Amino acid sequence: MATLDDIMAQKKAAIAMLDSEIVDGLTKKNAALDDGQDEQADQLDHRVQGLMDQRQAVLLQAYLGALQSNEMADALNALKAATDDMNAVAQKMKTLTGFINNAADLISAAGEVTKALKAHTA
Amino acid sequence: MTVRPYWIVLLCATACSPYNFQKEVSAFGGSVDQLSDAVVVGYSNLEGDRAGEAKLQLIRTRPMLNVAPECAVPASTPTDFCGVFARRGRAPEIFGSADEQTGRALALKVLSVLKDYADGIVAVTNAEDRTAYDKAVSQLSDAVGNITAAANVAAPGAGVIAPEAINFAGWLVGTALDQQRFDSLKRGVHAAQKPIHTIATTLGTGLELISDQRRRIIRKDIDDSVTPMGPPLSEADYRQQLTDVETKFAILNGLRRSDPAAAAESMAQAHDALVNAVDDPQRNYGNLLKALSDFSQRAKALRDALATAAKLGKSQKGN
Repeated sequence: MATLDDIMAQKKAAIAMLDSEIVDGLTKKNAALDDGQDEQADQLDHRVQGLMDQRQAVLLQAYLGALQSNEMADALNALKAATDDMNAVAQKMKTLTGFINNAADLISAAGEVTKALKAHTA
Repeated sequence: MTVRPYWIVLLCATACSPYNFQKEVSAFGGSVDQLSDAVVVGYSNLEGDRAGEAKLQLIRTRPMLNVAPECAVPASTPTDFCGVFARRGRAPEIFGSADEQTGRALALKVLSVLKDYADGIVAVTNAEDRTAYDKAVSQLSDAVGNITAAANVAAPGAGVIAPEAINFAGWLVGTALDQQRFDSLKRGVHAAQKPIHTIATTLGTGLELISDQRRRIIRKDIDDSVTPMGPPLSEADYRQQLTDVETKFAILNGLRRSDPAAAAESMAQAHDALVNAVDDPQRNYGNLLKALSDFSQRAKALRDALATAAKLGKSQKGN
């Protein structure tokens, strides 16, 4: 299977060549229109449309190749693992904060009960 | 939980704080959201462009119409077509070919993982968590102080010593948890460095494709609008059509100049700068700010360009 770098290098080269031919084709089309050569202009336009189809096909192929590559699968797994680790660590402080708040509430409540008992037995 | 020697914890108290990066990490997350939005609105507006193009074609040729069979039943997929198309013709591929739809589905999964990661680094650098923790420790200390005050008669000073012990233990544990957060942040951004490059390269290509497809439809519409213009038109009609075309050129040039690949690459550059800043804040903080600013500008420009809907056809009623 081609690497991501290979896929992108091929894409870049193909796009550069196609862009050059597209601009060249449209330049010639405009020249044909200037000369009143409508039929020739139509043929050139038809050729340019074919080049644009190829351009989109190259981009789509590179896009799908990258999305379905082993590198992408590895990348997503690594990112998920890093995310899970960070979320787990971040949660520790929150969980402890909740526990401490509960303990503080419990102790405060115990204090109130103690005061009430003292007042009752005094 | 590993208990570190007291002096190491104290040394790292300021140098190794994850909260030093809260603002920058939040900025990175915001720009990731912009890039993600660019993909989503890009696809959405591409659908709109294709639907508009199909409608214009029907208006130009005025064929008899069929209603798509799928309209009779609930949607089986989010992308099945319910609409009209020319009799003896084919339904327009508003959502693109099967391969394009596969690409879109996979890209949305990638974006989901990327956004979760951005949320993860925000979570470990969130200073509000430490503020809430400190407040809880303080409240516990006060509660203990109140309840042990009663013991001062039997054990003098108990009402002071006990709460101070709580405060000290709370600080020690809090600092250790901060260190864990910083270690996790450092592990996380290092582990994510190469994956972020892979994702940036891939999303950049996807955004190039969406932009290319939109540009092609808009350019064709401009071509169709410009071709019939000439001396037979009145000055008023010529002026109006030229104004319409200029509006479309503004959208086309916005797409041409937004450079999707560079916007996605700037995400990888900003993340690299974050890794370097976490490793050595004093030396690399300035570069981090610069890289984040570049990412923010490019992501926003790309999102704005892809979010602009193209109004195809003439600016007349019925088009």
